[in-house]
Amino acid sequence: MIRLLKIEFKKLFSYKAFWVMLILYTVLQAIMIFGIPGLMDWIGEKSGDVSRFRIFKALVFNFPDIWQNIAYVASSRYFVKIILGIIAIIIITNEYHFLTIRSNIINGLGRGEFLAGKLEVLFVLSLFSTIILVLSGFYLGFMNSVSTTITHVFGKTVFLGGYLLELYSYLIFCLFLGILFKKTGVAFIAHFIYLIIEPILEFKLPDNIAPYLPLNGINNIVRSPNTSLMKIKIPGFNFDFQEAISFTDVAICIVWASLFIAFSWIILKKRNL
Amino acid sequence: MEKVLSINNLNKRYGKIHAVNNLSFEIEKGAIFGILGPNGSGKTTTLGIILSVISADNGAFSWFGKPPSKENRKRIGAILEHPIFYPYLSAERNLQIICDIKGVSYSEIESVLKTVELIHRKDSKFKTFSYGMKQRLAIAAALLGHPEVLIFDEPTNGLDPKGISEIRELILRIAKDGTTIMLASHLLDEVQKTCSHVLVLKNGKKLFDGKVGEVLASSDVLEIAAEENEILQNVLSGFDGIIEMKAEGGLLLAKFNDTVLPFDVNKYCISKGLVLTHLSIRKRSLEKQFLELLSHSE
Repeated sequence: MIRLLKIEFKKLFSYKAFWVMLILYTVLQAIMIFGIPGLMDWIGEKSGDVSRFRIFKALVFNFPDIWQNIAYVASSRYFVKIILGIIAIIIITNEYHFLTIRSNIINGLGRGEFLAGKLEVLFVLSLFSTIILVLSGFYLGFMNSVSTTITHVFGKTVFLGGYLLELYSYLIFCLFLGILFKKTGVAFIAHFIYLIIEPILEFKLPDNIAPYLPLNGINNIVRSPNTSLMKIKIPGFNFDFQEAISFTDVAICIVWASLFIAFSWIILKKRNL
Repeated sequence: MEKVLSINNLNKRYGKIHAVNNLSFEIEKGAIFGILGPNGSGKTTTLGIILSVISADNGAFSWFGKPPSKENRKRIGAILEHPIFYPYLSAERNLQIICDIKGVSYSEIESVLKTVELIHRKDSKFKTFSYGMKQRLAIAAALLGHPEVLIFDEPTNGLDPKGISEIRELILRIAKDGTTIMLASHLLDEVQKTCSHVLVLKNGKKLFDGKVGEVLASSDVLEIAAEENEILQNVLSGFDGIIEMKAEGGLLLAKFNDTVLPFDVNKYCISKGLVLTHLSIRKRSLEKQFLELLSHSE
């Protein structure tokens, strides 16, 4: 396992595009999470109504809800995680472009090992993103939270696990696109087209099928943000915001991720290099 | 002799093109085995199949008497078509990746880079290399881990005459250590100069498979006949300067030292009281022979 990871990171070691994108991602994710409270302070100052935004901040970044809220923002499928998706596509399409997948196999790497190496890199990337999320969560939480007891601080951290699984599954989906289309540009376009197509499909299909669509399936573990305010029931607006992670959602996500791995494996095994 | 590679009734079609047509052959340990054929004759496809990057439609092959596996591939060093490396990585890092895949110590990198005279460029990115340097790096990569078999596909393609002769020397030097070598080429001259065995391919079919000396004998042969060929054979075996003889049809094909003229042979036979009924020189131009071999298969 370590051997495959070592091989993969050696490939990326002096690959500038990879590091540029990774830094860009880190910066954007930090801006996104840290920028929201800053933006609120700014709006508050401009509008002269500082206290209202303070309350809002205290709600959103309150332990333990903060974990669910930042996981929700960071896991948005149309947001910064696309950069990681692009990295996932590039690390596989490059191997086709340079034909290095071929020389890897000739030199004695098994096709299964090749796929496993890529999956390991993607897991490390997902873990990296989750760690940034954890760090920013601690910072914002301690800055804005009223209560910092252990039960509060570590409550709802299960949403971080949910985030990790969602992100990892999404990157596996991108890897699959890369293997399927081989060309970086084609895989990118397919990715963005599908990002647009699925909501349309969802609209056309019956409601009970929609959650099972691939991108929904791998993006539905953290469904919504939640704050103590959202738990208050207002007459006429009887909507339950997500409180906990549902086992079904996790199962759907795992099934899709496994299917993408299986499809990738079949293509790798069958296709000439 | 120990068999390094056995191929059995291998077939591969690309649509209408039968790229590899019922191909069978074996390679013995220590051979320098040439695969000779014009462009598009199925050489690279065959190599792709035995290196597990192309799947055959049917047929089988085995390395070292075992079915294909990644462990077998680690015992083989190969260059298929163009040199393939990560362009943005240095020569050394590219070789490190291969060491990691093969499970070979990094300490070998320096010696293989010295062998191909690239040690001074080990920190340069692969994309900055000239074609000849890329080709040499590919050879260095193939040498990592002291492979038991080395496979070269058109190793001198795109090289200048100096580079060509350097690579040929290198191949011969490696072969001296007992490494089995497979060399695919469309150049007759290249195969003749380096190989001990040759397989001639055309349209994916095997035309000939055997020792280079048999198919590409370089010296001329005398066709000789007398009333009684057995007596003739006895008499000629006493002739100073004869290399080999064999009967073919009603003729005796004999090879002599370069200094021997047909005149000498005739004179010798007459002195032994034998009158020849036939004596002629069979010209064995290499190119002609190769082309003949290829055209006869139609």
